[in-house]
Amino acid sequence: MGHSHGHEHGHGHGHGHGHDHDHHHPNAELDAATLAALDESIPDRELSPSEVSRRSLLRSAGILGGTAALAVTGAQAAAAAAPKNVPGWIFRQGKRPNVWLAGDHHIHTQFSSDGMYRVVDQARHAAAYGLDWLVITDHGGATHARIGVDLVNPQIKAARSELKDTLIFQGLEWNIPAAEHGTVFVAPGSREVEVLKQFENSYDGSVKGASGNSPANEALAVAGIQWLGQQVDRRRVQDALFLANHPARNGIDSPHEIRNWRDADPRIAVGFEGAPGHQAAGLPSTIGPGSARGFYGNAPGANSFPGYPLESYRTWGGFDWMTSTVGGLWDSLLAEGKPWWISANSDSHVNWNETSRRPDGSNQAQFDRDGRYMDPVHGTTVNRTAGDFWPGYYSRTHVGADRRDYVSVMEGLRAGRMWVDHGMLAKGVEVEVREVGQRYGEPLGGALLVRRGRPVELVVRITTQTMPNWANFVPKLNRVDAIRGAVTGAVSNKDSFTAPDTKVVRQWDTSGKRGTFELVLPLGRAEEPFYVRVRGTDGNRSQPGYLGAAIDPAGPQLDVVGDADPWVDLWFYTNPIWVLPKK
Amino acid sequence: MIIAVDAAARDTTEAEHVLHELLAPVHAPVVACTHLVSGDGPPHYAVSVTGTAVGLEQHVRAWAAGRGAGVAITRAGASSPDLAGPSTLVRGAYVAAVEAALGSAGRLVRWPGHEHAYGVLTAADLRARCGIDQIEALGGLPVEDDSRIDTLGFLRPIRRVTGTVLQVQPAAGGLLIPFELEHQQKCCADH
Repeated sequence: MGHSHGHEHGHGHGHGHGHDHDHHHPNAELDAATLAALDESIPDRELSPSEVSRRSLLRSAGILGGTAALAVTGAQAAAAAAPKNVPGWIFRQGKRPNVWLAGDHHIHTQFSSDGMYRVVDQARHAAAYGLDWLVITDHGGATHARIGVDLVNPQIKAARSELKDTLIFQGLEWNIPAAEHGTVFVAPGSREVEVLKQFENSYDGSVKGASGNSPANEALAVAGIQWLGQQVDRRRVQDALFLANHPARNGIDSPHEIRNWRDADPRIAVGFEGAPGHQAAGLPSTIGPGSARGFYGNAPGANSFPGYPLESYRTWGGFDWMTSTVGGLWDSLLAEGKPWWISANSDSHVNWNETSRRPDGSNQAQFDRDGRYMDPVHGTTVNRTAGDFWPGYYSRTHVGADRRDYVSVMEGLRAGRMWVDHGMLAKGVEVEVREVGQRYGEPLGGALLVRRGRPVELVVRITTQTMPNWANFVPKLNRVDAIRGAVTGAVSNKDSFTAPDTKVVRQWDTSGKRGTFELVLPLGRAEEPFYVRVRGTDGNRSQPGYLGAAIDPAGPQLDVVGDADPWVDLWFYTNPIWVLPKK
Repeated sequence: MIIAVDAAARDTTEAEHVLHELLAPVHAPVVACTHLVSGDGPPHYAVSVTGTAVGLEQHVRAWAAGRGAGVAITRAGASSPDLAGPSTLVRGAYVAAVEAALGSAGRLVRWPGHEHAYGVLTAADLRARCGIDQIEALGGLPVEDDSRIDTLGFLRPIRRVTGTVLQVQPAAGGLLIPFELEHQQKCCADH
């Protein structure tokens, strides 16, 4: 497929696509030339020819004399204040995982106004489909804050005792003030409900009427993350985490908001969904919803960040544009040398090709009254228009943990020891960066501190899939890519979303390989700080990356609305490893 | 004449509802747009109607007064526009009027040629008969003269300095469809 975007976008990002300047500027709608044309204190002779022609157009339309209307300004406070007492960035060293635990941190139940299943329905399917841990994340909102957050807990506790080998966290899907949704969850304990309920009542954008873009709402989001950290400090809960969900879906998570969350408390805010749920949504209408993969089908709205291109509103190979774009937003965060991790989840509400449904009489009014829908019943027909898969059926987040317990999973997530895949593309992916000649290095999420000038190498240890996936075929990992970028430090513009130095540095053809094999990439001598991350694919659908073929010769393809069969377009992504040379 | 109204519509659906009410008594062809107002206070949409429709101004004034909306009405050659309503909303109406006057920004709901834009059309047809100057596809996909575009009965082209642009995306069956679909997935929709 021809792709002409590389140069245009690469160039445009620095020059006038509108996101280099503060988008809270009082006259953000009108460009400088129009404002000059409108300003009658500037004589015609000082205007450029195009400004003069605009002025005459406006004059003949009879609109020139009304500029006083533009002078109306409201409070334009700066973006969320810089955090105080922020602990250092979390780079863990030498934490080779003892066990890989697959999970899903984004799952809805009958306690969501758009959900349907019992907790045990979700948990039992998750366990059957191979997950070790899951987080129940019903939507924040008035009804959930009032009673749902309480009512779901006994179901979660019952499921924990029913499914002894499955770790089931209670969380909620936070309506982040001024932004998208996010997973918030805590370590189980006597105060899990109390803390979640207080958080929701104090900081949920829907409960607080704080959904729209405003500096005050952005500050409320930052305060919510910091409050969670304080609950850990005060030992009300043993641990708490926040990850942003479907970040690019509506363009309303601006780059500076994501940075502000991360910087609010890096122990708590650790990442975003690299791939959203709803992966069945793009199945063709003959067998599925015929919608956009991930339900990423929207156009920009009033609260959308104006700098995002239309391409960001669609998934690419099932992944969110922020993650799928090499040298894009995720890389611009990593290039700052601060942790920010990706995950992949089901976002299961109502699952594709399923026969159960809500019972008659279980409607919105009943939900609002009781805090939950009534238990599902057999529906006698197949639901082809639902867009979700069961947890574990398609998307997995693999976390490297010390032990199989709640706190270790949270530690692994915080440390970024994780990789994600679709359709069980790989059985095992272990990545390490080590000094040449050393036996061990740093695992995913780690930072290799190495004496400057020492040679280092990337080791990718793949175990190919031997088991069929839940579409009942054994997926083939046909290519693995290594991506490398310089660590250039904190950005001066918090709304920047490109990392010009990051690109694909190696593509391995892995077709036909079986069993466990190692791919080794020499990374040269460690002179300046950098990071590497790894991606793999079945190779079925590729196109030059959004930022051009020189950055990413064969990246994921833009998903087609109504024609996105997720089983024939499989990818895995790992989190990064840093190399930080010492003097 | 340009009539611009800011009724603090939170999304384009609400803005189009405002246009629908404003244009209820109008049968003459007009250009009708939604305009993003993002510079001050909560981001939202204003609307503009460009054209000479009998009785429209009176209808709009009454409608806007009843709802506390901001209004900017311009007449060709006048020294300044008529402004009415709360100052924050007058600002949005004025912005919409400026964008309508320049014809360089805004999202078109009605425009000359929209009446021909239905069914499946080639890119060349859309440009020749439907008032579209350019067609742009997502992800660098080329648009040829004979590329087929299923309008899905809902086109909302945007205005740029360079002309009227229809943004499209790939769809099943080798067709292109509009990037903006009529039914947007709500945040917490029951899906």
